Amino acid sequence: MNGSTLCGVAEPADFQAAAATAAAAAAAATRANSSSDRDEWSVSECGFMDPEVQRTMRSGSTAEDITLYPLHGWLDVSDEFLAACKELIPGELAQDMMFGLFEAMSAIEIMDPKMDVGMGFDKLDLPPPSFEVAIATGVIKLDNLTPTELIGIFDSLFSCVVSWLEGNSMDQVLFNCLYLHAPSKIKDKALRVFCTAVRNLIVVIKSIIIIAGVNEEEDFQLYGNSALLAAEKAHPGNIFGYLKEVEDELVRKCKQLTSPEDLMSVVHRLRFMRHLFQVIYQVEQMAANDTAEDTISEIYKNLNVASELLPLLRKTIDRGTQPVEGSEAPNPIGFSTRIHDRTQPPSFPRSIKIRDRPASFQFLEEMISRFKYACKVTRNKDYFSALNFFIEYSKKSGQCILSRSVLQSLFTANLRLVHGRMPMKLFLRHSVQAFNSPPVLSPKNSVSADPKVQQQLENFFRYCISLNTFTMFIRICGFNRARQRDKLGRLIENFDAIQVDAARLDSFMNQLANERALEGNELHATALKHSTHFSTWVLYNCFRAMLIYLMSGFELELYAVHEFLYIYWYPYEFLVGFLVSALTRTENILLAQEEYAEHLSKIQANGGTVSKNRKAAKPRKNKKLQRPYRCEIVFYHALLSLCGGMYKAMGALTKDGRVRLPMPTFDNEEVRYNRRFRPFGALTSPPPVSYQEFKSIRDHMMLASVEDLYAVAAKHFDQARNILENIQNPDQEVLDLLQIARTNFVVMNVLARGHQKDVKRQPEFDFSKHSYFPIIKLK
Amino acid sequence: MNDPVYMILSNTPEEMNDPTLSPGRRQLQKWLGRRMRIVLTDGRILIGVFSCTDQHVNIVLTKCREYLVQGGEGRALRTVSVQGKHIVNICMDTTQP
Repeated sequence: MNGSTLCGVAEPADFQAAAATAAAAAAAATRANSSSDRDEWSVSECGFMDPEVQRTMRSGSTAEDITLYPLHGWLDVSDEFLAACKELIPGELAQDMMFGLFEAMSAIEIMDPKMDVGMGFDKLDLPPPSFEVAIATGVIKLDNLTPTELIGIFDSLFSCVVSWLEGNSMDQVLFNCLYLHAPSKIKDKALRVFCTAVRNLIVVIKSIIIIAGVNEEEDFQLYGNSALLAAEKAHPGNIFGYLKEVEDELVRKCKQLTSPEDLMSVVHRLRFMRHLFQVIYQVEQMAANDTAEDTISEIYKNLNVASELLPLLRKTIDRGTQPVEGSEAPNPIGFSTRIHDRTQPPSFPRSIKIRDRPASFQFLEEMISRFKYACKVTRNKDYFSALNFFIEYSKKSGQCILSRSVLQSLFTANLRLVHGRMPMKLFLRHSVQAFNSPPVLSPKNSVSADPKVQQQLENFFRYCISLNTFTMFIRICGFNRARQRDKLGRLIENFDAIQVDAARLDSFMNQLANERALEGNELHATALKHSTHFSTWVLYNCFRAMLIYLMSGFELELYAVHEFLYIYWYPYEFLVGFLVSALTRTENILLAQEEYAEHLSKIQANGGTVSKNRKAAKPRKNKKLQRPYRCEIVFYHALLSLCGGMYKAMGALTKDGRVRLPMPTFDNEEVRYNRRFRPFGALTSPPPVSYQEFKSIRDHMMLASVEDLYAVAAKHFDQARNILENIQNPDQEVLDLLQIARTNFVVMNVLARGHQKDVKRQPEFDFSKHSYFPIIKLK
Repeated sequence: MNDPVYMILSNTPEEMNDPTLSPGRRQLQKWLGRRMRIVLTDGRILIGVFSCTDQHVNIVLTKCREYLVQGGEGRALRTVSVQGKHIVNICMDTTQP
């Protein structure tokens, strides 16, 4: 036995006492160490094996221990150590008993340029200059900057802002600019105002992103050295006034110059900043309080001016000072690149690269067009179209955190404007009415004043709000694409409760109608005539969430090729069909109601006879109102055929032996299947489909010969092609799907004819055209 | 202990002083959990608790601090892993080898 073990036995009481509190534990261990014991493992004997306690012991005490080193003096063991390591066999680890995978996860890899900011520091290097030092040593100028220098600083600050919006820490990409540390000390007016504007921009953007709350740690670094931001006072509301003032001054100056081009470029940058700032500021104000409806159009105007200025800025990038080749600073003056590197928390995205100038302006240009697109959200006055908008927006602009946040702000602000003080409940009520117009929601309806009916409706919508399902769905579409799936999975489970409530409401309405009919109150009975309006509405939204959830797995590359079969099977057999039938049912209800209303008005207007004028006018009007969901239904039909085609194609390829299957010992398809469809299991409607059911359906399909299966798949793709070709004014997505359907049709036909019969290679599935459907490529 | 793919040498009391272990392994066991000082190829000094190593002298230090100069102001890094090829010198905090 060595000394340490003896010591461990000798002092158990000390350790036992320390076990009571985790905090004391660390201290006790240190005490034991510093007295005589050098081997920490004796702790384990005294009941410290609980990983939580260990973690606390290890983590909390970083600072106080290490500075005491060495306790006994350093002894060079390099050679012994190397020799000892040689004795280990490949893969063998010598591992401290308190060290595990959890700790290993957060390890910083030294000398990896992405993780190790300490890299490349030389002990002879001076510390990076601070603002004061830079002024004292004359590294930065505060006055008499030439237009070239100004353009250089402005452009580099734009790239800094862009880099910040891409998820970098503001300490590293913004406060590396010394001018931002103390703008009020800058004497040059243009630079001072511009820097003040950037600082305020940071504050306002942060506030928008926080309020929208659709950020994740990988999108945006909320935390930074806010102490640097706090020092200066300037109200964001005054900024554009300042900018305008400087602009005007410089414009006057330009008029006296013979070649004002450089100075004009400075003016353009200030002007661009002014409009950009105004947009961001107005968006933030909208989120905070009620403003007039024309704010949106004002935002739009500012966006237009800003986007017109951008080409001018891009053309004049080379008029400014350019970053020195090989230097990390985005501009030769004003930056102290590593000023905050050593103050960053160690577990930080460490090494950063600031975007170059052309790419930054490209980003700003795209961002402004995304903002413009986001402004259109205000046209969507009901849930159905708003949800469509959000889903589309996410596909097209999902990568930029600020664009997503701006959309959320505009939408909520708009809701408030349209629907008053209780936005969401009224909005949903209005949305159901717009979706399938349940008679009870019509204000003309004679029973809508009935307190009992009112109560039931109120309860239902209040329930929708308190469960937060519908609001959440829209918000989820605001998150980045990778995070949406997980959140949707949880959302789907929530739908069940609302479905139950909607079904109850529907049956209550029907029951009431029957009662009124028995009472002989025909008018009320017809007014209440109700089918499954509310359930259909809830189900439709649930189906959409389910479809996005399932298909997002392709986009995120979660599925293995041998899993494609059941993933495509489910929407083919159920989901898309459900969506089509929900929409068709809704459409039929709407049409029937319209007809009935027309019928009534005819009776009222003409006493039962139809005049010739009316007859001529009617069909045209009718046609226009006809089939409100026609586009969606046609599109879903195309999806249905594509899913069917992929399902059959996967069946055929599997049977043909062209799909690599996992080794049976490592595989359990039932477990995979259940895992893939887990969120759906919580729903009563649609009822979950068990693995056994799936298996029997698949086995039945697989009975056919391989050639027949290929041929059937080809037929499905041909159907999809047909439907897609007939869509008028197709957008890019439709065109892409069309190409996929065409190509896969050809491939399936080729395979059906026995091409490459002897080479059983797995084809390539190329998802580059569309994230949900691949082009099947034979190698 | 015979599985070469997943073999872990640890310093738990049960495993200590196992006479069947090779001398180098027993030495490593003793060093585990002690303070270690590593000098890197670029001159930086890392001081932390020696927590893990392997055949290629890749080392994991926990509670690590980085110093640019001996005795200078350190920067807390918590857990770091260093590849053997970047290591110039290794010291243990001990009076005897």
